[in-house]
Parts: sequence; structure tokens; C-alpha cells
Amino acid sequence: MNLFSKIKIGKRLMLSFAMLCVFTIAIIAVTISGLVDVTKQVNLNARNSELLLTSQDVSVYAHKIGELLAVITITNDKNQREMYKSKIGKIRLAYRSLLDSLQKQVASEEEKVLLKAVVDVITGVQVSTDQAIALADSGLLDNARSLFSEKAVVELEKITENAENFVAFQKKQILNLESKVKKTVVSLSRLVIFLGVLLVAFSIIMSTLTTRSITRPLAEIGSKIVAVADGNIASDISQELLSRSDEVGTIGKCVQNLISNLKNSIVNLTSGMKDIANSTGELQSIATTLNKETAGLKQRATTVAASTEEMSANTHSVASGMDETSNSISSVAAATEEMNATISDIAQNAEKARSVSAEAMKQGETIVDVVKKLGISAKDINTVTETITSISAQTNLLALNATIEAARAGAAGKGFAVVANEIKTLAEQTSTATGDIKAKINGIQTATEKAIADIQQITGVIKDVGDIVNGIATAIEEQSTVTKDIAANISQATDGVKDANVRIRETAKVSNEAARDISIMKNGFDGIVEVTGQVNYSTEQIVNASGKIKSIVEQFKV
Amino acid sequence: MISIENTEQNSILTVIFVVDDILFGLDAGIIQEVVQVKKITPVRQAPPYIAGVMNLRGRVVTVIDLGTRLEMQQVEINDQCRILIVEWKQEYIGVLVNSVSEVIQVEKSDIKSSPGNVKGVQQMFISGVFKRLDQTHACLLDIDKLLDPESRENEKDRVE
Repeated sequence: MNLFSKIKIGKRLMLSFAMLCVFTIAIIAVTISGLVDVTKQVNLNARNSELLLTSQDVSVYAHKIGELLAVITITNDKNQREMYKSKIGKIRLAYRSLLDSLQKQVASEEEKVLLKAVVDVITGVQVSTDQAIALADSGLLDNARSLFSEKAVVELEKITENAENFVAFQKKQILNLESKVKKTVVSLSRLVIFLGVLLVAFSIIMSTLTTRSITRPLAEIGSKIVAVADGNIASDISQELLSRSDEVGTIGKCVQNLISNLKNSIVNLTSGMKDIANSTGELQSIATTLNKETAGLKQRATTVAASTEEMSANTHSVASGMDETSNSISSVAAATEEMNATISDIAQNAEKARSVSAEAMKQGETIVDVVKKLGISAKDINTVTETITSISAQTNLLALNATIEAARAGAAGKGFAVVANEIKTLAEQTSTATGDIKAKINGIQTATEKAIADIQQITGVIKDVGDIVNGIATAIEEQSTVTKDIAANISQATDGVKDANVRIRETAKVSNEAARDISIMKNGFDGIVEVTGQVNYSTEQIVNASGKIKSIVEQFKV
Repeated sequence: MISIENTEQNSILTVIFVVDDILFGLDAGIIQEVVQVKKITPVRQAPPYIAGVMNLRGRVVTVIDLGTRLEMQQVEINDQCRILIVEWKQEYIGVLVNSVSEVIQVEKSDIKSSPGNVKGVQQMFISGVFKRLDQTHACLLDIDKLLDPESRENEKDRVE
């Protein structure tokens, strides 16, 4: 199987066909050689049959000569004898030609020996026949008859015997050859059947191996691509497939590169989303803290306002009491003491308000930093989406080439053409998703810019609040000096009361100023609360936008 | 040369691409693959329609600027540009186009001969015109005439 995966598909198919062809040619060669063998033996058999017939003829001729010779030795009629003599001559010519043809056809030593015996006897009989005829011609019929019966008959019978021997030998040869042919045919048919079965088994194994080595990895790639189309890119293509060096291996490597690129991009995108979520959370907590602190500030401003009102009332009561008696100076002193305590309260509260507004300004700067980081993260995501766009363009090209390649494969490539189309659809979906992400990131950047502007407005308002609080502190200091003067002047008598009356009016004026300042400060705090609400709204928008991006990213299972 | 013809459906698989805002088509069977444009090295004293040579996985491939070849606007290299790798007379030749849009099956019966009022170089290279699904027309190009340097010379002679 490993050896298979190293060879290109075309060569693999050629190899299988070549091996099958060699097998088939071997079987045909074996069959032809067997048939040639059988044909040779059948030819031999035909020759043997001919020999058999010829030798039987020789035997028949010997008998005929015997019969004719018998008549010659008996008859006195010269004409009849001449007629038989010529008949004998004809028969001799006939079997001489037969013997010539036999000698030509005889092949084995054993046959030659047998034939030579026949020829020798025939030569002998020819001599004795000629002698018998000569005796008969010279009128010695009795001598001729005795020569015929003593010598020629015996020799003629010998010819028959020898010829029969030859016939028996040929019959044996024919039987031998027949059994040999039968054996050859049986063994040949067995060999052909065995080779045929071997060929069928071999071709089944070869075709199964070749087909499986192509369809199995293609099916795996197909299932991986369908998984990617469904958004599941967690599983990789097996190492065995990637190590292949044929066309299927190349496709597998391309798809694997595509999957790992997509995976990296999504991991980067996810980490970018986490950064945004963290930054947004920080921003929200800062806005909440600012809101809380401002509420505290507002409460304290209310306290200051109440104190200022109280102070105003006290100042009035001092003014009304001043006209009555000098013994009410003691009550004035008490009131002055009370006033002193209240002023120190105010001073404390003003100090607190100042520190809170400084803190708020510092936090505002932190928020600006965080929001700027958010903008940078969004830009980072933009570079990631550019990478994804380039990947989708490459995927599109890959799908195009896969379609052409599938068409080249003909009917076998039809299934892969469907896969190529799926890849194309996937690339288009990726492109659309990237466009969505780009639009969302633009939304985030717009929201970020708005948030920065809002926060800068907030810090401006806080600075104003700080200035106002500083104004209050100065006013309180002035008040403090004035109350000290009052305390000093209370020890002086009634004429000092008048002087005090003037100062008390001054005090009333200053406390009115303080009340006005405090109400301005309260308005400032309302402004802060409104602005922090806006910050909260902006961060919620960012959270919504990042949630949408996250849902897009989560379509992919990494 | 291989020709991918579906005899049952009697259609040709065709790669559709754009040169100077006009749609053209080539039989996908002769196209080995489609690649993005990388580095093209100019060749001195070559005809003007030879954009240069490129390296395709260690193989030197001659690149033809189809815009100049068709006496239209020269193809300006950008991200959309593609090179169709064509096997022609045992040689790989790159055809530079403005962009590749899709691969479609074109019914043979839908291919009409090019209109008579198309003259000159384009008439020579166009083997037919067919209508696409969105009713736009695309011209089928004759790759043999397009890549044969002699057809260019003949054209010059004829004009003179």
C-alpha cells in the first residue's frame, strides 16, 4: 500500500494492465505449445496407421504370388503360364513401390530392423520363385512343384509372418501414441485451468488494490472539506495521506494548509475579541466608580448647602439680637463658636470635594488610555481580516483548479467536481463573513472615537468642579478670618456690637455667595452623572458589537 | 491535445475570463491550471505581446499578454490578474488575463459563429460567440491561432 502511494495514478494503472497482459500472454503461449505437441503426436499416429495399412498390403501380395506360383507349377498351358508370370511381375512391381515408400517413412531403429527382415525374406522368395518358374518353363513341372512346396511356400509364409510382426509393432505404437495424446491433453487442460484461475485471482487483487488506493484518500479529503463547510475545522487530515507523493497526496496537502491557515486566523481573532472584552469591562467598572463617587460628592454638596443655610439663619438671628441687649453678647459668642465649628466643617468638605474631583480627573485619563487601546485592538483585527480575505481568494483559485482537474478526470471526477463547488461556496461565505467583520470593526472604531470625545468632555466638567471647589475654599478662609475678628470684638462692649453688626452683614453676604457657589457645584455634578451615563451607553454598544463578532467567530469550531 | 467534451450532453467545459472589460472563454481541457501572478521576467527583443517568462515550480513558462495579443488595452498587473497555464505543442505557455470569473458548461448548440462586423485581429482569433445565463456574451478563443507566432505575421501581411 505504501509502495502504491508513491506512484502516480496513471503509472499505477499502466503497471496493473501490463502485469495482466503478461499473465494472459503466458497462458496463450502455454496453450499453443501444448497444442503443437498434440498435433505432432497426431501426425505421428497418422503415419503409423499408413505404415500399418501398407504392411498389411505386403502380406496380401505375398499370398497372391503364392497362389499364382501354385498355378504355374501345375499347368502345362504355356500361354496361361506367361499370363501368370506377367501378373507376378506386376505384383512384384507393386510391392516394390510399397516397400520403397515404407523405407522412406520408417524412422526408428526397431522399425528398420523389422522392415529389413521383411525385405530379406522377399528377396529370398524372389530367387526361389524365379527358380521355380525357370524349372516350370523347361518342362520340369515336378521339380518346380517340389521347389515350390518345399521352399517358396515356407518363404511366402515367412513374409506373411514378418509382415504381421510389423503390423503388430505398428498397432502397439498407435496404442502408445493414443494414450500419450490423451495424457498430454489432460495435463494441458489442467495447466490452462490452473493458470486461468490464477489470472482471475490476480486481476481481482490488482484491481481492488488500485481502486482502493485512489478512492479511500479521496473520500477522506471529501469528508474533511464537508466538515470545514459546516464550520468544523478541528480535525486534521491523517499523516498517512499527507505522506503520499501522488496527486491525491498533493490535494490533501493543499486542503490541510487551508484548514491550518483558517484555524490560525480564527485563534488570532478570538484572542483579539478577548482583549476587547477585557478593555470594555475595565471601562465599564471605571464609569460605574465615577458615577458612585459623583453621587457621594453630590450628597456632600447638599450637606454644605444645608450648613450654609444654617449659617445664614444664625447670622440673621445675631443681627436681630444685636439691637436688643448687651447681655445677649454671650449668646452671640455662643453663636459665633457654633459658626466657627460649621466653617471648619465646610473647609473639610471643600477639601474632600477637591480630592474627589482630582481623583475623577485621573480616572478620566485612564479611561482615555483604555479606550485608545480598544481602538488599536480593533485595528489589529482589521489586519487579521485582510489575511482571511487573501486566504479566501486563494481558496477560490484552488476551487477553480480543482474543477478543471475534476473535468480532466472525466466521469470519475464528477464527485470531486461537487467537492470543488463546495470549496468555492465556502470561499464566498468566508469573504462575506470577513466583510461583516470589517463593518463591525468600523462600528467599534466610531464608537471608540465618540467615547474618547465624551470622556474628554467629562474631564473638562470635572476640572470646572475643581475650580469651583477652590473658590469655595478661599471664601471659607475669608469667613474664618472674619469670625476670628468677631470673636475678638465680642469682648469689647456695646460700641463693638455696632461694628460687629456691620461685619455680620458682610458675613451674610459671603454666605449667600457660598450658597450660590454650592448650587453651581451641584449643577456640575448633575453634568458628570449625565456624561458617565453616556459612557456606560457607549461601552454597552461596544459590548454588543463584540458579541456579534464573537457569534460570527463561533460559527467555526476550532 | 485533450478536449473535454461531454458527448452525452454535447457541451464544452469553458473557463470564463476578462480582458480589457470584455468576456472571453477557453476550453478547460487545454488549461492545466490557473495561477496567481508572481514574478515575470521581461525578455529582450521578444515580440511586444510576450510579457516575459515566469518560473512555475522549476519550469520556465513563456507568458503572453492577451490584451496586447488581441490589440486591446495591455493587461495591468494587480491582485485580480491571473495566468492560465496552457499545454501547447508539448510546451507550457502562460496566458495573462485581467481576471478569471468562473468555469461553466457551454452547450455546443449555443455557440454561434462570430458576427461578420468583427474585423481584423479579433476576427482571426475568435472561433465563436455564446450567450451566458445573465444574457451577457462571451467570445470563444482559438488557442492554436492565438499561440502560433506565424499567424501574427500573416495578419500583418494581409493588412499591408
